[in-house]
Amino acid sequence: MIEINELKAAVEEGLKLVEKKKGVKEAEVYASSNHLSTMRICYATNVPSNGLEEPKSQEDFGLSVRVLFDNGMIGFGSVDSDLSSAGIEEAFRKAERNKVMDTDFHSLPSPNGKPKISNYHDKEIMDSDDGRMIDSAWGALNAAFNTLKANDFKKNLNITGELNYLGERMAVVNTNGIDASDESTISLGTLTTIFELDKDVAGMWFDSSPMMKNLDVEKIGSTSVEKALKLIDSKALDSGDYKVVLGRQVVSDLMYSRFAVELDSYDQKSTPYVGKLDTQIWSDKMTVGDDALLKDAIGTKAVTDEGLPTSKTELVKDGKLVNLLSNDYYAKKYKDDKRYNSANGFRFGGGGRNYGSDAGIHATNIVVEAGDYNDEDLVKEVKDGIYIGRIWYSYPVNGQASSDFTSTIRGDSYIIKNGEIDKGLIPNTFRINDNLDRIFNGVIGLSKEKLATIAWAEEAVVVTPEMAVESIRLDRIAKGLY
Amino acid sequence: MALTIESLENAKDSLPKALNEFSAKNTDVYLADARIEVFEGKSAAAIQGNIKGATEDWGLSTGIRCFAKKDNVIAGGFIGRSMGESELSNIELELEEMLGIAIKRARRNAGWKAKAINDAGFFGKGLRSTELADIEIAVDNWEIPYKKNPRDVSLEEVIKRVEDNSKAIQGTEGIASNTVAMVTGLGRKIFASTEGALIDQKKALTEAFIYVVAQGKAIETFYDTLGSWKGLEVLDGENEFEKNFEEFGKFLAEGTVELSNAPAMKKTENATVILDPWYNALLSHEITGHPNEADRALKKEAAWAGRAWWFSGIDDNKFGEQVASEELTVFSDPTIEGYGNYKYDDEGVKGKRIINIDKGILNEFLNSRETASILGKEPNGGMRATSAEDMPLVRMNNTCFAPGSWKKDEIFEDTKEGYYIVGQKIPSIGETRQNFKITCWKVYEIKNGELGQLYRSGGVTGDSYTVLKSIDAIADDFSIHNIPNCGKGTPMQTMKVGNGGPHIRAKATVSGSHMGE
Repeated sequence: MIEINELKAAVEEGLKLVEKKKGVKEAEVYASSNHLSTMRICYATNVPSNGLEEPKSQEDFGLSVRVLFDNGMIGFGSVDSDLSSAGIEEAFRKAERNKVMDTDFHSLPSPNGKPKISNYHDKEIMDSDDGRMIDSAWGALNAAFNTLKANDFKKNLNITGELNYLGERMAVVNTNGIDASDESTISLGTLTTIFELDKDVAGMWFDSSPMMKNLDVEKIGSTSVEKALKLIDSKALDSGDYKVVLGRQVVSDLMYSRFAVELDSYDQKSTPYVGKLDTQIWSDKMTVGDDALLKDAIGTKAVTDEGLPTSKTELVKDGKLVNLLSNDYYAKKYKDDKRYNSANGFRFGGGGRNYGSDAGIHATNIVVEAGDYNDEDLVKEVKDGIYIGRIWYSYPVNGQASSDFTSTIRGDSYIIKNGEIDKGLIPNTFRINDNLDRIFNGVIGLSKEKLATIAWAEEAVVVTPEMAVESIRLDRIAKGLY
Repeated sequence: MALTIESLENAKDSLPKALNEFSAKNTDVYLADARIEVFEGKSAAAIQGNIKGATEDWGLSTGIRCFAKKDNVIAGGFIGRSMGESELSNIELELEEMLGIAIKRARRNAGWKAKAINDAGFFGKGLRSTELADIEIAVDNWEIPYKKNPRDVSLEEVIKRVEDNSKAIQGTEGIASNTVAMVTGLGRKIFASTEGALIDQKKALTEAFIYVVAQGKAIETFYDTLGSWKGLEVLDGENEFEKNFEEFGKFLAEGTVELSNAPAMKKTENATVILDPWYNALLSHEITGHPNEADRALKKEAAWAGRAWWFSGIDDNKFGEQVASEELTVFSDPTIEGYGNYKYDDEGVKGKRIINIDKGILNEFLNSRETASILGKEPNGGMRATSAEDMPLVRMNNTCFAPGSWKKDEIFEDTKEGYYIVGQKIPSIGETRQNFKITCWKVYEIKNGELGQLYRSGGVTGDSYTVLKSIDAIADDFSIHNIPNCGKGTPMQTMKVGNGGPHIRAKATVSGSHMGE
């Protein structure tokens, strides 16, 4: 990876070049370097497999220039793998050629404070030791094998998932005085163990941390197996409305799927929450925010990709929608509403902070505030119902402006009987057909403990407790199989 | 200096040279291959009639796969990089470095695999030294012809066309918001391997995206793309919708406004449904395309993308068994027009038409060299990566329902009561693809063969086997609708694929609004 000082030097020298150009009113120079290592694990007993399917990496670095010209036009240009003055010149040429008259653009960001955190990245991930990462992946798989051996389980099964290690560095300066840089790291891992018996059984575990040393890969392997083992002897249930406890992954998946509170979505009317700011959208037990400063969470960032300090933004307070996430562009477009804080302008694009694209609006760590229940008390509260631990492919099937969603129950789920966890629920036998706002209006209670969860292709996390709700609509599926 | 597809000319010498030298130095290499890819193009996007951005640019990337042997066991190591001009001018040095990293990973991985095979007892038996099925080694050039060169349009013209279309859509009564975007350009990819393959493939791409939000009695959103591996003629009507860019915008805008004033569909079980080719693109994609990808069937994607319900193991699967109505044949064909059109895949395997489901019977998966070896099949060229820096996965190409013998009108005339399902919207599929819910743009009631009431918030849901088995009429019309963003893999890759088919009649549950409006 490119060192942070090289990125800083490149943007500083770059700005000196660009600001002298004819016709430049304001200019921004941004540079980043990213390195993503992925260890994709694919093991099976009933088909030949590789164990560690893909030890691989992707890397990039480059810079971009954003220019507001005297005639009010805005242009963006970028170059790959080049931090030199020639690269700056090329990026500027592109910005000049690509300029458009965007009447919603007001100005580049201006400084509004200092970053509240610093030096929170992991040098070990930045140095990306291939050997250590490959060893980690086999360590996770071997821990799963050892747990299976300890339980004398020798039947058809597969274990799949991955470990990801991402290092990202950025620096940005502009003619309005922005001068910021950031180094952040992410390690995350997940494994799903599926026993392919007469009835399938699926257990999943995950972990995430900004620090590689804190990622407990052996626990990921052993816990995914332990969770699957607990689910043997599962059964299916009939369609109906069920009182449920939603596990943390489920709350997280629903948030990713339907909690669209970015100001650009609001602007384009692509969210269920258009016109609902300052109104009660959910139960008063629900308080949700975006916290970019959360310690030891993988979504944490010190500065945005516009060079502004990050912060904590309360989004839902006691069930009322009180704010939206914004970047500098949209905060200025809607400048009459002072609550929009420009704290979420990021260039996330899968695999790091992307010099090749402009800053959009992205969440960092979405935090659902905890309640006062122990996990087991939530189960007691439900008394008779279902504990749903993992859902799958939650999508807004009736469109972006509706809170309707559907998904299937994938695994880690149980029947609750007389306030106790009873038998497992056979995965892939229920489809949820419901509405997020209806569900979150029926919150009975939340647990005390919040944990970070992850989702496919997401770099942010949702930190959430478990949640008991009055009802979820479940339709029985896959009757031909089970 | 801008990179163009011509800039890769020198790489045609460099790739084989670097691979040959690497292979000569490292006797433990089982196979290594390299891909380099460039795309040069222009794009623009507008929201609510206001231009938001435009680019005239290029992108270059490279990917290496290396399989190496250690302790008599073969395993892989991989690396991908985004690149700039300076790397291209020193490509042999870049390749040497990347090959060095890839083999280091492959050796360490192979060492661990060998240890697990020997030490993990029962669980070691599930591991196998990687083997790739033999193929005919190709040295070839290939390109898809096009009419209007993307280079011949200026960025200003692209900006104007996008902005004007967005303004026109925004001016439609009932439209609350819209996003319009387009890209047009030329791409080139070169593949070489230590086996001696050297393949040079070129394609143009023109694609337009339109998203509309209509405010009637309800808010209704809808989006789709039109596109093809062609030049600017795509925007003049040479596409799956047979509409030019502006007509496509008007069609989506007016249709979605009409829909926003229609009543919401109510869930209706065991209904007769006639599915149009546009909807069948997503249905064929989700419930027949994905589970016919051999890597998924062999559990390689189980954590996130899922498995295939018709394949549990080598000796426990439904090959040769009825998995759908005998009316239904499903094929995958990279040799026909559509986003799944290519001559060679990203392992250098020549793609060929295969029959996935033959008159209802499960027949053949799309495969890679490794999965072909595991399944004892001929490689059929199904491995593709979204860009050269990504590692290839088994991907459907043009996977479609084959046309039948009914006339479309005969199917309607023969349907006393039912629902006509028009256009694809959003899918949610069960993990093994055994169940689906796929919503559509419009639902029309059918009474005595005639279209009646229009409904919004509808779709089709059911167990895949049950719905596929219920198909009783397939029309002789056929069209492919391109899907530009199929997600698979980790990190997720979004792939362009072609899907579709004719009009089809089946029995299923028609889904509706979840709030029972």
